[in-house]
Amino acid sequence: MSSRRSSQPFSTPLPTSRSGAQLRPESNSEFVLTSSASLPDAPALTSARSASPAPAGLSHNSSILSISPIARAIQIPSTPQSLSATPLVPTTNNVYPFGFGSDMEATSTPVLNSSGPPSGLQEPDALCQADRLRLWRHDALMQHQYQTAVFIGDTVLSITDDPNDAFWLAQVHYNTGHYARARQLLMRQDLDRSASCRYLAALCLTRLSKWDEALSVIGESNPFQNEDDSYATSDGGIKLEASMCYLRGIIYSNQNNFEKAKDCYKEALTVDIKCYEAFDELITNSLMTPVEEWDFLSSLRFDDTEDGELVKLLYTTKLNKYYNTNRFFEAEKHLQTKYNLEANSDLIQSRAELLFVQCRFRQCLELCEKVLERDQFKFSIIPLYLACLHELEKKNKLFLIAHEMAENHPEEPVTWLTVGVYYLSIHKIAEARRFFSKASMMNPHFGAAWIGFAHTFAVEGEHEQAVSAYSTAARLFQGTHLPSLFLGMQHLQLHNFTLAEEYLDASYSICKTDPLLLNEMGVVLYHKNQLNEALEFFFKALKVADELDSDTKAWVPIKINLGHAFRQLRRWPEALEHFEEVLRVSKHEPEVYSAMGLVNLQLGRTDQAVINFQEALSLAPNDPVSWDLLKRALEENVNSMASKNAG
Amino acid sequence: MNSMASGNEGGVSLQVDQTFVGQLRRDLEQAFSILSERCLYESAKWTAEALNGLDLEDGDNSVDDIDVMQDASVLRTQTSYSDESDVSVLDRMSGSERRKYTLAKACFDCREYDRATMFLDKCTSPKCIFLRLYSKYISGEKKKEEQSEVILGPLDGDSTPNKELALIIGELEQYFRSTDRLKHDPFLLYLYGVVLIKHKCEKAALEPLVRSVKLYPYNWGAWLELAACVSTIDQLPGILEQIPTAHIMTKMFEVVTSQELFQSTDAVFATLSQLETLFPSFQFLKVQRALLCYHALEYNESEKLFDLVLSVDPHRLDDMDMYSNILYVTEQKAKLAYLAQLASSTDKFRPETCCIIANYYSLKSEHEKAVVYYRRALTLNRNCLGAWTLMGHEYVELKNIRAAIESYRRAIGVNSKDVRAWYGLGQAYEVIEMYYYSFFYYQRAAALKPYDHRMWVALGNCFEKLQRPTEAIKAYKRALSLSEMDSSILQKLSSLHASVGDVASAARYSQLCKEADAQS
Repeated sequence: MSSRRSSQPFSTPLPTSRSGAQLRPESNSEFVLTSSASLPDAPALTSARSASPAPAGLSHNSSILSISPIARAIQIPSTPQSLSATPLVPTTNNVYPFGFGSDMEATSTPVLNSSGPPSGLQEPDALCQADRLRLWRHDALMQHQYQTAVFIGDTVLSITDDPNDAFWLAQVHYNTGHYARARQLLMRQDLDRSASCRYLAALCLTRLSKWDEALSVIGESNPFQNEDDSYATSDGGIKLEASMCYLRGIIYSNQNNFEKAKDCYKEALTVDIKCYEAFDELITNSLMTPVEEWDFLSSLRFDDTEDGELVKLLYTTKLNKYYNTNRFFEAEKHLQTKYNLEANSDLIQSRAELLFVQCRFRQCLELCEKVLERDQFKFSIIPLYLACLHELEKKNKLFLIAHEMAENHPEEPVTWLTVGVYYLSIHKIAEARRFFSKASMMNPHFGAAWIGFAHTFAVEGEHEQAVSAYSTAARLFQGTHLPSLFLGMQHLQLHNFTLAEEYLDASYSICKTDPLLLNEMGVVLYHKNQLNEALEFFFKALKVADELDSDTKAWVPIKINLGHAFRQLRRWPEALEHFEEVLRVSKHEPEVYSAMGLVNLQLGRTDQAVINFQEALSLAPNDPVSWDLLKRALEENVNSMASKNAG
Repeated sequence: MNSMASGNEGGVSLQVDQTFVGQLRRDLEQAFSILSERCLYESAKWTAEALNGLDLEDGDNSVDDIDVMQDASVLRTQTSYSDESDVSVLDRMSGSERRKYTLAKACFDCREYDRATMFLDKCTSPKCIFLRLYSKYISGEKKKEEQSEVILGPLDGDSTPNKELALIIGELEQYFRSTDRLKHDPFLLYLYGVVLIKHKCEKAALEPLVRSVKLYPYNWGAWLELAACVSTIDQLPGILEQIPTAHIMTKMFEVVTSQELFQSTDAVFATLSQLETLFPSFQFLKVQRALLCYHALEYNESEKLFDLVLSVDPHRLDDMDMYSNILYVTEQKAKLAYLAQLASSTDKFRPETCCIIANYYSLKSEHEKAVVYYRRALTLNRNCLGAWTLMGHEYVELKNIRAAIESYRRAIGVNSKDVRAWYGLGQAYEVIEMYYYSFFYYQRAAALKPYDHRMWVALGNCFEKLQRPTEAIKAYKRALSLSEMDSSILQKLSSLHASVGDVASAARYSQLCKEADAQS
């Protein structure tokens, strides 16, 4: 392989090299990044480099756009060669190693054969017409003038009939969003022996939602899995194999084959840790359980260089926040101090996620706002932001962001999630449901939307429909314990304790450190009258909440439940103690007062009990149980007074 | 009242020693600036009144007085008071925080509470934390008022809480956990107590308040809150044990708490007299004496004292609603009308003024108008002590029992020591024949005023209605022991004994009844 790589640059003409950089259509912005990366095998490229500045001067003398790699090279005259040469490299290294046969090199490097290799080495004036047109096409593409690019691309293709030009025209079509057209072009040119062409073709097909066809183009499994892929791409680019694995994952997940999708994503990362798309899919869709995530991360092979460490730390901060918070802190600190990423929005987002898990909504909101201040439409943080706003009942801010999103990004599913959350927070359930469902239609794998959709049913007490919606969510997000937790909660409300327990157990097998889950499990046991076990779970929940250093909001319900359990166990003083603490630190709930009243009644403090019940009734005047209890307490009060008099 | 007696030795020395007075004057002056700095204006006002009520020799009001007022540092070096160093620590903060504090305080003074909170967001000195949380609390109270809408409306009451309370408690607890117990700021402890009381956790509030007054005794507000925590007279000695009893502020506290708990005993009057010799022209103390007389049903004496206060300080509206109650009870329409005019010429929109006017209308049997004015008083301040109870009375007159019950209930919510409200609730429930309820409330009233025979008559009546003649007899007997031979009680006792078959006793009581009638 190394021989192949070293040989190609010589034969790569200029236009190809620039086009090669474009092979990753989704990462246009990375263009700049790659160009500054160092080149381990730079010496081999000398010849190619020497040629590059010249055409730049020729074709871009009027252009000052930095997106053009060559123009950039000119701006930094001290090292023009290495810089300008960089864009060439990823192409060659990435694309060409993948072949499907002996003729791989020929087919997969589209430009190679036809357009005379030596042209790149010639003086600018000596550029042939085709090359000049290619430059034109490329520049048009860079400046998003797709009409020009298509026009010139087609022209140059007609002139040369070079598969390379066809491939490149397909890229232009892809960028324009004409996926079918691109696909057709690739089909026509019979280019699918080249890996990069197949990748592009499959990409077009996924865009067209033709999943089966896409899968047949890209292959059902990774054909390279047995190859020795221990080398890293020398230039910092992403291995095409990894991208293909990722694409396969996308296809599988759209076919609802989540197990396979997960494997594909994992494979993609194993092949190349730089395939962040795969990592992102794994994490945001919670395809893995929290433990699995951590195990997987430690199984990944990061190279020993500084970059490897950086990536590893970055990925560490992205993982779920239920485990290993100390490792998160470590990574965060390292990134902040060593890599100067203190103001990095992704890092801030990770911190905000942790705060959210800790129920510290206020601080979380602050961080979210800090991120959004700089990047108003950072979609990845918006669900978190919405959750905070909803939790803190900031309806006005929800309203504003919903409007801004709908105005600027109506095509994003997260926009409609925002609108849904807004309606949910102002208790317009029907509207909320409509918009959640819209978001989930736009992206069927949008977990937050599905859960929001299910919540709307739960709020209205439509348990059956809520259960079915949560089930969908559970199917989509197998790695997160939340859907099964919610399912368990629904069944708990329906008093199906056995089913509830099953779901909660399932949830527990995924995540063992969510206080809410532990609390619910305690509640089930409480209802099954296994009070001591329930106590155990409540205490465990408290301990976890404590370990997460959570806000009071997280542990108040647990304390209330503890109080109830103690009450059932007739351990009155402990019960009272917990209830009193709850009343001190949280908003007053009528149930707590009623429960305290019951305890006081049992303890014979009838006057206190009467006051408790009255407090409960002043908060919830229509509670028949409290009225009944109050009546009983008052009668008891007279009796106790009478017996005291008698004694 | 052992504690009071123990305080007496200190008291003797108080009166004569002029250096002590000078020291007290300096302490109060300092307290005034410390309290105003923290926007505790009511307490500051009280302190200033006390300061001006001191018995100062003329020679003392000389040059150095001006110096003291001009230069706070002089004040500090002059005082040799042991807590002095602690007091100056209270104000310590960095330059940038000081600037923020100035801004926040200005905002607070202009009633921009949320702004004040925001400016102090990241400050760490106790003084800044105090002002930040205090303005947060005030802001929460203000919003609560706004959201509660109409008095006795659907949103008025416990269902509309101050949403900041739990947050403030959380923050304060966090702060107390993270700092050394000995370094706790007295004002933060005070705020903690205030918020806990508002959050209906009186029991928990006691400890921080006691610590607050021990750390800094000249914060009158803290003493008042502490008094609010004392719900029965039995609790008072327990609290006094924990604080230095000889301190002048402790004595003030003793007097006020006893007054609120209707303890018109000689010991209380003795303590009050001591204080009065020290503060000869402090109107507050005169009002306390008047109120003590009022509780002892000595209306004439009380009226005289109030007249005295009014002649010295005619625009003092504090507690004047109590005066109007006395005039109401003694049915002095003209004087009440005069008081109402005087009050409304001073400030029409003070809850006290509204209460006085309402009392006037009530006396003229214009109960609807009275209700209107009580409502106005409550709109101005929902924590207005008397207004809720009196409005309850008006609603009883208007035969609107539901509203009456609700008013009484709210009165108890504001001050659980209000016997009239408890008793009123008992009566209201008796009217609608819910005797179990009525019994409970009479019971509470009797616990607060165990030596008032009316409570026991009411209880006996309830027992009778609940078909418990034996208990009823006991209650009536208790009532009898607390009053002179009241013929109606004797009659009840006679008929009750007859109903349980004790003919002999029945005859005896009927005989006594006849005798009592004959006497009167």
